Amino acid sequence: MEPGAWGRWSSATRTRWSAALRAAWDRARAWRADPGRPTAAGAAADPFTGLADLRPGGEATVVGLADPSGGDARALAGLGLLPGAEVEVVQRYPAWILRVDRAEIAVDDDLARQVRVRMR
Amino acid sequence: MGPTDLRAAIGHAVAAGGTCPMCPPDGGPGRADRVSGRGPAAGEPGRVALVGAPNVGKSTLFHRLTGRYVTVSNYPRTSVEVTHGEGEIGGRPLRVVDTPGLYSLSAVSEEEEVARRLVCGDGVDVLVHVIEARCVRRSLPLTLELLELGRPLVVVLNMMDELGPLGLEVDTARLAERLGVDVVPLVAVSGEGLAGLGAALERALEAGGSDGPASGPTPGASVAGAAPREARPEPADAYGRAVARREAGDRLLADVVRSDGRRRARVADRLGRWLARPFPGIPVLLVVLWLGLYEFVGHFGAGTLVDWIEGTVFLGHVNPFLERLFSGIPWPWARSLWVGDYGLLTLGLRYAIAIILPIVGTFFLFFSVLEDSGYLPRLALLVDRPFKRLGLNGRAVIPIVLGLACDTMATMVTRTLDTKRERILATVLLALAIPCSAQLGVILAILSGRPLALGIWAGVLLASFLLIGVVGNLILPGRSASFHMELPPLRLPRAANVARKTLSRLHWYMLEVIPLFLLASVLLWAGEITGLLGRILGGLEPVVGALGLPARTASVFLLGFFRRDYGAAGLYELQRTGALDTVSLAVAAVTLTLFVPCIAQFLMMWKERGPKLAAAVFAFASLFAFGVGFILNAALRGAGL
Repeated sequence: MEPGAWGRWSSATRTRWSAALRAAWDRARAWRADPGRPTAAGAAADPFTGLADLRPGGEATVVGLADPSGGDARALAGLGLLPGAEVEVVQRYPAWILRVDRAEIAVDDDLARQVRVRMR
Repeated sequence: MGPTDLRAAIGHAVAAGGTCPMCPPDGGPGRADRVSGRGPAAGEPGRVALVGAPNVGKSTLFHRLTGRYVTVSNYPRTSVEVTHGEGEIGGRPLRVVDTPGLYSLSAVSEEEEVARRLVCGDGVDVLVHVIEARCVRRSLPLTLELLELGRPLVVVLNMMDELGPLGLEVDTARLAERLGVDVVPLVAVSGEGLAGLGAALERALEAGGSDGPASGPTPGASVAGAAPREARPEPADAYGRAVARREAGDRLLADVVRSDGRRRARVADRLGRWLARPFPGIPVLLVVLWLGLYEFVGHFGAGTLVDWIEGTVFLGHVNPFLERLFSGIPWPWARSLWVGDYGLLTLGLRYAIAIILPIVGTFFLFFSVLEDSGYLPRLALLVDRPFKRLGLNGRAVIPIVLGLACDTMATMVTRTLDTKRERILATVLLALAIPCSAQLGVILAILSGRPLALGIWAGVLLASFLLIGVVGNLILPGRSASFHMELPPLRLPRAANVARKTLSRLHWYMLEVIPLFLLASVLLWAGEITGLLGRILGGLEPVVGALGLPARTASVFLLGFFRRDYGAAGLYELQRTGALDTVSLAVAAVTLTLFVPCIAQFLMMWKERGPKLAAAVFAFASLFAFGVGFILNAALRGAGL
């Protein structure tokens, strides 16, 4: 490489890295700041939200699935995640533990994302 | 009389006129030995099917109802096992079948399909839907589906004893009135309420004989009006139907379930959640593994018990007795078959009973305790993420942990995994990187004196497990199935349940695996007297030489295929004579563990996954094991050890 190319390359890389890091940091801060409850404006716009938006301790009522005809719908129905079911998030990591109608179940991120709920 | 006429003769209150919308036109299999379609006469055994979700206590109730002649057999043309038994209640003889866990009649998995066929078929007089009392709301949709079948139905609310501590009350009378069938509160574990079940079953059996609907207000009529009816539902509508039934169920439940509104956190709940987080979940897991595997299975099972049974019982009494018994036989080849070096009785049977049985037995006991306490689902939660990198998910924790007890049984249990891809990946991992307890016990005994070798062995094994998992996940097309699992409350394991589960696994082991081990002994004996064994060993010697191992190690590997315990025992002998230094010991232990599965596991893989996969795994395991051994030897020697 010609002299100077190394300097230019590494500076471009550094810029990219620091931009990426800054973006990740901003996302993390935003996530922390959001308690899982939609803002008043947000609530008006979309009263339904996904289970995946809730934090531990959050309570909601199931209103349906993102894809009721999908392959996972049966499993979710079997676990009791049907409209009207009362759900409480016990933990999110390493897997979701949900208290559904007084029984506890575990699901992974993929399944949790498919459940649409209304905050209580 | 065809099946459809039969159902019309029994009579329905439901508008559809008698055809189960889920069943194929031929009505499903079942014994149609009651020509008139009436229920059993007094004195004839009533045929009862227990239906319900997994973990509601169906098995406990089943064992309460049946005493004798409990058999487990495969449902025809499937690999699903169904348990039936005979018993009696309130003077009425019963034939009870325990169906696989079912959430809804729109079945997809093979087990649910079998449950559905049992429920819809003609071989059953009364359906008993077993529900956990605190989960009535969730279970009612299935009750409604069963009601739609129009067959005599009894609803059992099990685990009533849990309602009090939760501040709940269920008005069973009102629920019975609304559903139109008997609702029996019960505590299966203690037997409380069984008398009520007896009376309800008697009523249901008698009602099944009449042409009209079951006793009481027209069953399901109020419900049928409430729930939308479809003639032939489309599969894509399954969720919609579940939603409709759920709404109908909620209407039925108004004022039936009362809660005092207080939130309770029981110790068991807190402990259960505590265990499901990485901290303290993982340290606790390590402690459990250490106590269970190392101390209980390792020291007690593989040490104390084995020493006693093998030393005192066999070598002290049984073997000398047998040798005297057989000394009268003039032909040395016949003598050696029974009491020789590889003798069926002196070695084959001795190892099976004195070495394998105590080790496998203690492991099954440990596993049953874990299972009954409800710890396994928490473990599944913890390992779900890492397992997804291996192409599996948390549910695979059950066959993998069981593989540490007996790989053959674990290979069979891989049936319970959801997708074919997962079943293949789990089978391969079990064959290559999960040592069974028989091996584990002896190898730990050998290596315990040399911690460096032990560390190398454990490290290489773990690395192989991860490597094969990750590579397998990359190669096989598809994605892991999603993880979902019920989390039953954590509780103290009940001795009766643990005993039952352990004994049933041991029983399976004795019937399925031990005969194969005895067969292996015969093959080895035949190989020895024909000289074939010697020739194969001669071929293996250069291979083990390349690994830096003495020629005698060749027999360890050959024996290791036939019986894992023979291989490990051979290694033990070699180590005792001081023929192996630390590096050779580590290399030999690693290679033996990674080597091909034992004959029992090989045959199980053949049966479950097909001959092609079994042969492929066999070939790959041989190459992989010796390859890793070679590299390890070169690396360790090169490092100057």
